Amino acid sequence: MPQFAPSVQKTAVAPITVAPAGLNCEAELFLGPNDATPVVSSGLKSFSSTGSQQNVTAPIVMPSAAGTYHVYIDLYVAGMYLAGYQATEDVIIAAPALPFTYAFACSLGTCPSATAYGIAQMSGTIRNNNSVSVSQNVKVMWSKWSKTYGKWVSCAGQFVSSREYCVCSLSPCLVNPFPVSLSPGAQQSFSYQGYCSGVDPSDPGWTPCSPLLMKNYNYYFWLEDDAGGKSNEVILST
Amino acid sequence: MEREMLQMVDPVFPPSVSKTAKAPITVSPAGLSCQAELFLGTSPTNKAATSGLISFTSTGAQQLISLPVTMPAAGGVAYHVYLDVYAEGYLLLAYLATEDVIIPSGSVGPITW
Repeated sequence: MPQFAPSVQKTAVAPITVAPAGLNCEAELFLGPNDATPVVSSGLKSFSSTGSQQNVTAPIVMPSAAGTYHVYIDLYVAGMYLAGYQATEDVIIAAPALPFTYAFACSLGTCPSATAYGIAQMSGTIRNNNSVSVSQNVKVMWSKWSKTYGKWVSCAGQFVSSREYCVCSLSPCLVNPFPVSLSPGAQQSFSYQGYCSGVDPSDPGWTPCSPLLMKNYNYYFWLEDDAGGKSNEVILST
Repeated sequence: MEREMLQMVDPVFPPSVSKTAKAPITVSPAGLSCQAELFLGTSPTNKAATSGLISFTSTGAQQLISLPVTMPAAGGVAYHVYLDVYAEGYLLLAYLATEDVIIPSGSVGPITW
């Protein structure tokens, strides 16, 4: 199955036979989820029938959105629709696994509803410096170092000798990872104050903090995506 | 009876579409029981598509007779167009259109990118 990057220009070559010879013909190649919903089209390409096979070229710009698209060709003769065809192979538009770039800041705060604990107040920007649109799941990550015991803390909460890189749970305040889609050159702000309000309907003043930061740890926070994009790390020492 | 030539336009149709030919036919005198048949074929004896016999009564003046025909499914062929007119059961007129009806055929092979 042919696979292309989003928005690239390609030329399809279709061997078309129309008989008898000498008829004014047009062909339109288009991609879409069905033949009534063309997403991209070559437009009508004119040719004169020869009664035998001839290669008709149909330049077309691929869809910008990732997905699988059916390929259709409609044939017109003397201005009238003659027949429609669907290619046996679809075209796959693959979203490129391209990384975002990040600017990330994080500072230590106090949990309003549990002042003995700290919170991580995060902000930053996520930017697509690539030449094509990119969709990625962005993760808030953390690692935890116990200053008391001189050991790393695993993602499961155990003391371990080597550092682990963990997806930080921000529940119930934020879903993590979170999807980000950016067009070329676009950027998106990211901000999280370390807690949220009114999540529990029975207690509108409830302010869950997530994550709760205990004393005597070094917390390493950063953002990253599945394509290898990673922000600077910020260390919060409690 | 030798066929006469008959003017016709718009000769290209897709396969299997239904079209209605309108033929201005004059039969005199008035009051005769008439029938007309329009058919497409590669010869008068090889009918690929026909309107069947369409009945009308002569008026002595020109009448526009509608002759519905479903075009042949087989494409890539230029079909001759014939029109026979009967009066009281007898073949009165036999026409051959000056232009054929072209039923194109098309096919598309594997696309390369």
